[in-house]
Amino acid sequence: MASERTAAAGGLLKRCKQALAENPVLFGGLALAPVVMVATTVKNAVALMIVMACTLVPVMLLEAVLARYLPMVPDFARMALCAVFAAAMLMPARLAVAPLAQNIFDSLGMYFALTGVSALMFLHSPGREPEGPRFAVTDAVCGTLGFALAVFLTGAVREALSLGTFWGVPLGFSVKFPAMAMPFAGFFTAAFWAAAWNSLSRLIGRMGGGREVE
Amino acid sequence: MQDKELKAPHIRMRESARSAMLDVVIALLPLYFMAAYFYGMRAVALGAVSAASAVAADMLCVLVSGRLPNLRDLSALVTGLLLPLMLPASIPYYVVITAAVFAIAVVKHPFGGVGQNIFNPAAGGFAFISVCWPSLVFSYPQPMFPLPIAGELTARLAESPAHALMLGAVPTIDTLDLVLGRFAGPMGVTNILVLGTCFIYLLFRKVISWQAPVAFLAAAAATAYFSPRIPASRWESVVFELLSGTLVFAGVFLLGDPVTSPKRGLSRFLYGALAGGATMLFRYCGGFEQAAAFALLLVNSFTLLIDHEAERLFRIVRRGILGFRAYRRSRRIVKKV
Amino acid sequence: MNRPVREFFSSSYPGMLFESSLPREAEELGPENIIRLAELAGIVDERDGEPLYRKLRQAAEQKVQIIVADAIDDEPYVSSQLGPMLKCSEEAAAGLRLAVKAAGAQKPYFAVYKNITDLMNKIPRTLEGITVKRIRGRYPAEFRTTDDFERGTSLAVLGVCSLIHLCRAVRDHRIQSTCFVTVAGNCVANPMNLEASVGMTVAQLLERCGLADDPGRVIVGGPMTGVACRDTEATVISAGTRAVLAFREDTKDRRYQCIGCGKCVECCPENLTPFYINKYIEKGRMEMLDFYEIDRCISCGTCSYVCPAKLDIADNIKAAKAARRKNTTGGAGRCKIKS
Repeated sequence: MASERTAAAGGLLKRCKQALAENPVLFGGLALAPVVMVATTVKNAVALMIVMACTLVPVMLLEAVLARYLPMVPDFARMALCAVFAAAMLMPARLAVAPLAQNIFDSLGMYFALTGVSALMFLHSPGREPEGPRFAVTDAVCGTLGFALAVFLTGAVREALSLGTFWGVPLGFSVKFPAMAMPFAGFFTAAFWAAAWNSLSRLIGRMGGGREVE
Repeated sequence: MQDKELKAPHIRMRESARSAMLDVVIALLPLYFMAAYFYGMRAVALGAVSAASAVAADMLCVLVSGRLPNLRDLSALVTGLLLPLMLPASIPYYVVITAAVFAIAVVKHPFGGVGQNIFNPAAGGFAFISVCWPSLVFSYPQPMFPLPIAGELTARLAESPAHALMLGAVPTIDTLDLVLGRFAGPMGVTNILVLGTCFIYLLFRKVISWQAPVAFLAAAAATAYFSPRIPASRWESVVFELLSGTLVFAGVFLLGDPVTSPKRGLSRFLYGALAGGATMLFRYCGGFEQAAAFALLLVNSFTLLIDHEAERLFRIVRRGILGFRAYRRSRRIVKKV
Repeated sequence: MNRPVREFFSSSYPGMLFESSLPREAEELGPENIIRLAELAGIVDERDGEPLYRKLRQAAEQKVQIIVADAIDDEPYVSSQLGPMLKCSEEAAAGLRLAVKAAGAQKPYFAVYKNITDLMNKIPRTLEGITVKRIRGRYPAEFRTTDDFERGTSLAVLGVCSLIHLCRAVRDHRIQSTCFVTVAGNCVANPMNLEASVGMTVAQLLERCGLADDPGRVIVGGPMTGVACRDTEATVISAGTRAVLAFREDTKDRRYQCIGCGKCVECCPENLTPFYINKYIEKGRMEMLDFYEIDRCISCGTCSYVCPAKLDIADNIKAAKAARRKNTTGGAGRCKIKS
């Protein structure tokens, strides 16, 4: 029915908005390891984004399908299946990432694989209730977008400060801070972006709340 | 008569937070004077720039967190003045500004702010810039050649004795020069006599504790004595290790800082000894020649743990040894009205 | 000075007596009679507000060996025990001997706190034949009275002013209607020790000594543990009042945030850590206070005194203790004393 569809659409929109405001990395602290360690340049960041997209959407879909249509599969078996599937999805991810740069896998190291498996963590994002395959796709897309934002912001700042470039293009800074490429700087940068994101989302929440009241 | 509630006790000691930090600033002034004597007015200019950027960063951070800046709070000034003394006089201004801003905006305020910070901000700032620009931070001009305040520097830069120690060689400096600080090294760190005087002054004014620096120096000296890394006699090894690098400076100013050290005398001994051991470990096995700041940051993270365990120990002590006295007292009616 | 007030200022005001057929000579009285006289006179020990007869009876039951007359004034500005002891020394000594008899003890002592900076006050070594013992250490010394005596001896500590009143009760059958109060502070023109009637207002006392300035802060009690008085016309003194102080308000007193110096931890007489206790109280984490043994705090106020940031640590701890006592169910109102 039309009213049902609009209600469902409203629910979807609200879910999306919530998933985007509660960024899984900056708010929930999931999948921090790749962000902190290897998101040192924008190229690395884009590579991580691609990996996450390639693994997260299929895995979430699989998990939702299993939960809905094959409930007899026990929990641990379901998790194991999802993990194997995520690892399998790394193969097309590798093909997608390879054209970015020649030594991209050297700079990513083991975090290429780790990001793929981190997709499993997103199944337990804060505030997410599994509700079937339809929502699984939107959840996955929102999760990927959230991760992409976090990793891009961190990578961009760290590349600008440590190398003075953006995607290899020099920005014209005279002072460079080589220490920003190190993991401790990754923690700091992620932390500052998390703080900024939290205050921003609170600000938007306040503005949005005001509008809904009327 | 009075509208606000006045609480006991109604008399307070005359010292205030401002006077305590002012004492530290006063203790740093002789070091700046010596640095100016060795390296010209550039030393003072560096100090002023660092202090100004630290205070500006502090005010900005306080405003961002929604409070009004307290002009009587001199802790940012102290941090700003401490930083250039660990650096060579030939260092460019942008390095010093980076260090000050990093120390205040990243090490101090996100971890708690005034009085609650876990890590020493000056040590954190120094660590950051020595990782960023090791070549700039660890090459020193010769003393007694005044440097220009601004513009290009054409002085000849040398390595400090700490670098020689790292390579396993004995530094070729006269002992008197070593004590008086007339060799290539960080600006405020080399003159041991003046540092000793500052230490005694701060102890006298009860601004720092004596337990942590003494334990620190003792542990470092013991390590240098029992396992020297240079082919010289044991005592010579102790002298060289203690008098080179930022060790004594860190022990007096950075380690004695009461905010980041444990609060009980006994725990401060442990803290100082740990810091001394860690410094020597970093020196022997680490990549940098000046290890005190890094070791200090490491030991700062243990402060809370040390305090908690000390409290647990004191709970037992209170019941045991002091329990007798308390038991005797509780038998009299000693309730204070 | 107006007429009606003048009468109250004479300590030899014959006024209040009680009826008793007991003899007035100390030698003829037995211990139980002395206690009975203390009860009839309504004497209150100024240390803690307890009735003297109850303390004497307790001391007799516990068979104490030593009676100590407490003339320790460890709070600055206050000398309301030392002054009367030196001025009315004969009465104090007589009262102390009576107390010794009443409790069945063997030895009397006077206890004083000789502040090293107070060189003007000459305190003799013996007073009327009784040894004067000096209590050593820093504030709070009154709390540590028993430490300077041998371990294992049982002793009772009684305020010296109550012993003066005891002597008067025995000799003249006089009810305790006065107390010894120090009026001091930088607003008071003539600071002095007064023997004032119980029930006088603070304003009358300050008027007697003269106010040089309009005081910003009037305190009833010592400067470390006393209570600020809001309306001097409406506040009266009781038998347990030891001082009335008037200060100009020091408006330069600023409040800072805690700077983490740890001075409060060094100075606590009970070896507690006020730094962490205050931090947890301010953050509202009351469950940690048990670990830090907040119930051992004796509310001496030393931590607030030494704090360079002028925090109200002692007050915070007092408030937290009160809140915890209210929250405990069963055993309501009694705090655990760990000994």
